[in-house]
Amino acid sequence: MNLEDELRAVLSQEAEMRATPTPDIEGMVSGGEDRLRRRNGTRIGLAAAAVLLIGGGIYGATQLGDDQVDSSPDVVGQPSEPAEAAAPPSWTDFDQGSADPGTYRIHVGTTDAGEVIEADLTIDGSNWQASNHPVARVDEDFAGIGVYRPGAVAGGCRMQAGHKPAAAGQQQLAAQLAAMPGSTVVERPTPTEAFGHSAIHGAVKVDAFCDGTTEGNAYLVAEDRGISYFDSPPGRALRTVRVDFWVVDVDGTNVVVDMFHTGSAPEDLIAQADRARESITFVTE
Amino acid sequence: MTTEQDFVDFVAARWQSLYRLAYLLTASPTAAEDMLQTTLEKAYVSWARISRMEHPEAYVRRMLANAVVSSSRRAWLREVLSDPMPEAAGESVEVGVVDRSLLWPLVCALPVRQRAVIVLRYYEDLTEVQIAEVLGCAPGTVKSQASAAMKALRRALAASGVGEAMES
Repeated sequence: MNLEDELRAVLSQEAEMRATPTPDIEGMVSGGEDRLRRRNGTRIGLAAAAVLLIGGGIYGATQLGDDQVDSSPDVVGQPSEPAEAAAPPSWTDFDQGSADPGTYRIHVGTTDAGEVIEADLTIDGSNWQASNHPVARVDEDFAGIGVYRPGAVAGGCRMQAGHKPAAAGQQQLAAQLAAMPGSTVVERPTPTEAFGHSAIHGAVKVDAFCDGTTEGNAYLVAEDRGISYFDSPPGRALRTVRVDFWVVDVDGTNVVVDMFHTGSAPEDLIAQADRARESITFVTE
Repeated sequence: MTTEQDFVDFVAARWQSLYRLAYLLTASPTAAEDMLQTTLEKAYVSWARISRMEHPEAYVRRMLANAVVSSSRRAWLREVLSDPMPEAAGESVEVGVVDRSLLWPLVCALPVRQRAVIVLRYYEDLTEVQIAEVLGCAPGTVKSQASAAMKALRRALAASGVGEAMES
């Protein structure tokens, strides 16, 4: 028997052996009703905004369709989901493909209270490639942006340093990022305002090239957030990557925005990434 | 029949099958229950639309798989993609005696997206293109994820002594 057949057998066996809990159908219906109420609230708000904008003569700029103005509260059974459709497309839908200019929504994480944090980001130009998070590339150079809530940080090359649990404090987390393995501080962490929130900004340069060809050999900035060249042997200039980071206080939760680019990245590529970074707005539930 | 009653009937009839898929995708009984509960809440919101589909269960199963993978996505960055890896499904690697109680923990240890690809391929019997649609990524990504997963499984099996009986 080959491995594929073994997998078919073991997956079926494991699924059938698993005791199935009783479904909480009442909870599903009530949770679904809650979601409907929240959605209708959003739609009513959108409709109100549309009315105001019509008054101002710039209705077209809202790009609201007729179906988005319907504020009927009883929408179970309604065929479309206008309010959700009004949100930007999810970035994850474009994983590893080329990405068209536009605004995308990125899942960032959740607050300690379980509220979802997302970020809207707008990219322009033609160099963008989706790679879980946006990366703009010109030849071998790249500039990328990440927005995430880190669980652990600073694993360094090939995880030799091991991840450290992300500090709870904003300054402490910034200090951890400024002291990543193999890094040199370019800008010391400094309090600032960014993305409409209080933040700490810092910048480092790291030698991010790690021998090896697998994801496990990447330079890890944070848990599941890494810089990997895979098996493209980069030149010396490409080994050095500048990482700018902002530790942002989003409603009491530390979120990291980082932007990095190769040492030899052309200025217009960096500017392109800068514009995308500056467009970031956070969305909470 | 009301929309709500139709939804309740659907869940009552398909809960076990959906839970099994959720369990394989999450590799955790509690995470499976949580993820399935949330997915069905979302399905309820659009139930009238979903119930009119030709295969409502298939749609919900895809919602579930997508939710599991999306919830685990973090900010991994791949600036430079490697060359496409060989098609794993096309390889026919003979395995000696595989203790199935050993294989499932190895599947559980795979990264979420790799595990999802394996489950969708070998439990749901989806094609690469269908898996790509479910996970919202390119077929090439599915191919590389499948290849990486199979490679990891073979490596782990080899380390457990099954490897002597395997062809590379």
